[in-house]
Amino acid sequence: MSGLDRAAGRLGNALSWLAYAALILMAVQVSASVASRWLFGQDIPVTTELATYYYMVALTYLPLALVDRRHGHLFAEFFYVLMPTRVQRLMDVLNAALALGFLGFLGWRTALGAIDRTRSGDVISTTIGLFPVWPAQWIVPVGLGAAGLAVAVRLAEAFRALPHDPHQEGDRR
Amino acid sequence: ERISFNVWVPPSEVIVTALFEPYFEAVEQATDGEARFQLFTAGQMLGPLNTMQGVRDGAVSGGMIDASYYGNDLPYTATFSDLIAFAPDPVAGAGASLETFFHDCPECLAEMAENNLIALGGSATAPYTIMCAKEIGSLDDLKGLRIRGSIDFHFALINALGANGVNIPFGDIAQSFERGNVDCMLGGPTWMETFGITELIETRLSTVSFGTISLPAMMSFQRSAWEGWSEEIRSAMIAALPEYIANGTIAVMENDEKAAATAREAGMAEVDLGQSIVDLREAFLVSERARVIEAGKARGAEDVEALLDRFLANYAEWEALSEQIGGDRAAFADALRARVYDDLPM
Amino acid sequence: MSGIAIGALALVGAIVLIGLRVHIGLALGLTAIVGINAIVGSAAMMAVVTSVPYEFAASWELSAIPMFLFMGNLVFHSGMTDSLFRAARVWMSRLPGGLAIATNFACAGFAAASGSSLATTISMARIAIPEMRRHGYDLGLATGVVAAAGTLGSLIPPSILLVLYGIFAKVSVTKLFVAAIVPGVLTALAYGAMIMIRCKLRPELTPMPDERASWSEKLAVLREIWPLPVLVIGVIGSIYSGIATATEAGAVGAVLAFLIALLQGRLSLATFRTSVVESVQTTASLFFIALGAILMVRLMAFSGLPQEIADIMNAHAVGPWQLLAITVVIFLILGCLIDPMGMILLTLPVFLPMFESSGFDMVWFGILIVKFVEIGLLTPPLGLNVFAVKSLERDIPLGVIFRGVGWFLLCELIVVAILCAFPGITQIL
Ligand code: NA
Ligand code: NA
Repeated sequence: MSGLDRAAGRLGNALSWLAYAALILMAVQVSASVASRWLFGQDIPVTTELATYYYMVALTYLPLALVDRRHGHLFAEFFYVLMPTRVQRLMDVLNAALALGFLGFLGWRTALGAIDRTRSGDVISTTIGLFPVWPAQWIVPVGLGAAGLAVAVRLAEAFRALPHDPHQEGDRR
Repeated sequence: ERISFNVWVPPSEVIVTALFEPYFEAVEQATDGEARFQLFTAGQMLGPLNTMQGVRDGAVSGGMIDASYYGNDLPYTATFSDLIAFAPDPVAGAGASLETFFHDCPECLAEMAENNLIALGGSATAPYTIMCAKEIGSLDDLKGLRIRGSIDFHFALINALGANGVNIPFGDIAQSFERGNVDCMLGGPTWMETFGITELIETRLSTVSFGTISLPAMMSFQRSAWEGWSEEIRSAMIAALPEYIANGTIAVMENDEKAAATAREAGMAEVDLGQSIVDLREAFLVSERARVIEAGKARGAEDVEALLDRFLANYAEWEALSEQIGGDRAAFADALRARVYDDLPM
Repeated sequence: MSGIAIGALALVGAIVLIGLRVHIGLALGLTAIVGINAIVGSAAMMAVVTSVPYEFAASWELSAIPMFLFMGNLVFHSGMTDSLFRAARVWMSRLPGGLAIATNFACAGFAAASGSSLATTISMARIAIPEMRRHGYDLGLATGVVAAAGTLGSLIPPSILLVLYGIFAKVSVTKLFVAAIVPGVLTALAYGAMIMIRCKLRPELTPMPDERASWSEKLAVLREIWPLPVLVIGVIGSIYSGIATATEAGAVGAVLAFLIALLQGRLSLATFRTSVVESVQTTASLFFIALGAILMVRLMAFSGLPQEIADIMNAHAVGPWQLLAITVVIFLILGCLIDPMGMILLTLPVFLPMFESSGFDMVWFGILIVKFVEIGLLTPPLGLNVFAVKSLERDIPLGVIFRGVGWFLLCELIVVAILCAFPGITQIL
């Protein structure tokens, strides 16, 4: 169990580093392109394309696993906080189960889509010729899958917490 | 029969209002409601990159397909998106593309079938012209300008003009013109309205069309779904099509002229660069021929050269036909029936 | 069941799930998938689910969001907002509710550097709320001012929402930015006046801070705040001079903030790292909600519910001002359920054609839409800005924050009324 937990954590961290790189690269490359246009009248080639098809997708999906592990997601608490702890734990299980279903379903479908796009070898036209975009398709299922793994760990934890007497533990939140 | 169809352009586009919508209505009436169409627009269901897979896999019964996005799956059909420069006239371009696709390109029909697709036809876009937020008096004035493009053909043409190609995302086009980050763009005059830059455009090089896009497989359906429909529906769908291909193509041209007139009123000058631009276009066609053939080889269509020559032969005949048609919808539809649709190979 | 009924049911389902503490993006996305499946069938639903996640994220226009977030985080973590708040505090300490007023105007200042309400709220909440609590301020006021004044982030340019609106309505983003300045400042002034009046009437809300700054202190603190105006002028100037587009300006701002912080010696490796990590995490959190919202938008389009509403309005031949009144009501209801980006995406396809034909100025209308959306950030049950404050001040009950926000909503109504009565306000600059 803790092995899976560790694996999910490592994967989430590794993918997050790629997202950090995407953020910095996007800021630097777009600014450099603006500066180059201002000074020399010429953009840096494939800047908007890289930002759009690669950096943005990486920023959206690769950090999801880490965000879930750090409870960075926003929840509506107004009903939850009124519930007794036992009900809250049931809601935790429900939440994690729904998240796993959603992430798993989307991960599966986008993986099939990525296989399709890889087979057809997606490219786009740019000022310097054809530029492949099919590899970026894989970012989505990878990010969703890693998040699914993180949620699976959370679901297992929530399940194990279910039968315990809530009064023996402090508020876990 | 409930037939769903996916379009990734907004519902206000002429191709939707003048082709898809009235065509589907006509088929519904002709079949007494046996066929019922459901139209999804603006990419709500599928975007341009996914429509082919969606139709093939049955997410929708049919869709607007631009084969250039699926070069590896439809290498021959995708060639038609590369023939832009060779089809300056929309009516002739649409006619020649359809005739070539259905009657002179067995590879096209075979690859559609392999992907569980059946193509019924398509129309042409407005002629590509160059519109600039600057005064242009000669070809030399274009040298070094920043011209907005997005596809291979654009960048090839921009290079031939000695200008700099820039691919500005749609959302930034208006501001880029306002701020002088881009000088010109390639497209029809309606684009000035789409991006709200009519006031900014000073010059349009309108006497030479740099080409039109004709997509003969634009309206395609899932083959296995098609085969399940009644003979009545299928023949009604084919019978009604020529009229609306004609309607769509000519409506696009009329709309274009309207937008150009509005821009002229707002101060846009239509410039004729005379022989210099005709010569440039001739030279450009030579390099385009090489580019189109090479691009075909790269995606696995070995014999694009033969396809191009058949298209050019058909286009020459259609150019003469287009003279006679003279923008008349009924005459165009008749020509389409006689040369393409009366004996459609299915 | 008709598509319209399924669409309405899905909206209700999403609220129920949100109530069960299901993640907002998840609640919207799940009910949308079920609803789409019910309306167009499983094959079509699968196609939507296969293509939407990539298509939605691969967006150049949306790239302004992580970039403006990055800029805001660099500004915040390097302490630039800190000195801004200090200056506002020193200069306004003698006013009733001085700290709250200082927070309000610091938010307005930060809004001029940040493109998002959430970023503005989160950044200012970190600095200002602990300070106000230390001085014994009423918790509702302390949290309410941050949540409400944070919405200035989307009104005072740069603004991600205005960028989105400009894209949809095909209105120049630059014009929108210029038009938003006066209404933004007006809102900040209305907030400030309201706080002052309330604190004058009820001194127990805000014990007077005991610090009395000397003039030399007051002037010294002013010298510390130059980086923020420089940054703001740099970003806005790059847009207006045509050097960068509104989308690119975010990246330019991030690099500029980085350079200023470096120049001031305020940028440690840890500061930089935290800024990067938080920008990435906030982006992913926001876009996960947006993914759910986009799926919900697809469901709405398939269901025909928005079109039905438009048809009903057309059938009753409602005039422009009635149309506006109905829009307000719909936005207030939707604002209870959906996040700002989702609201823009959901409603504009329906409302824009109606408003264009009603003869309203589309720039003015855009400012008004953003106002409505901002109000939605403050109203229960789903008020993202309120949640953002709650996520940082976990011991303060949600109800207290919502109650504190109530007074600011009153100001919002007045500002909206002024905007409607004098549309020319958007054309002053
Ligand atoms: Na702002
Ligand atoms: Na709300």
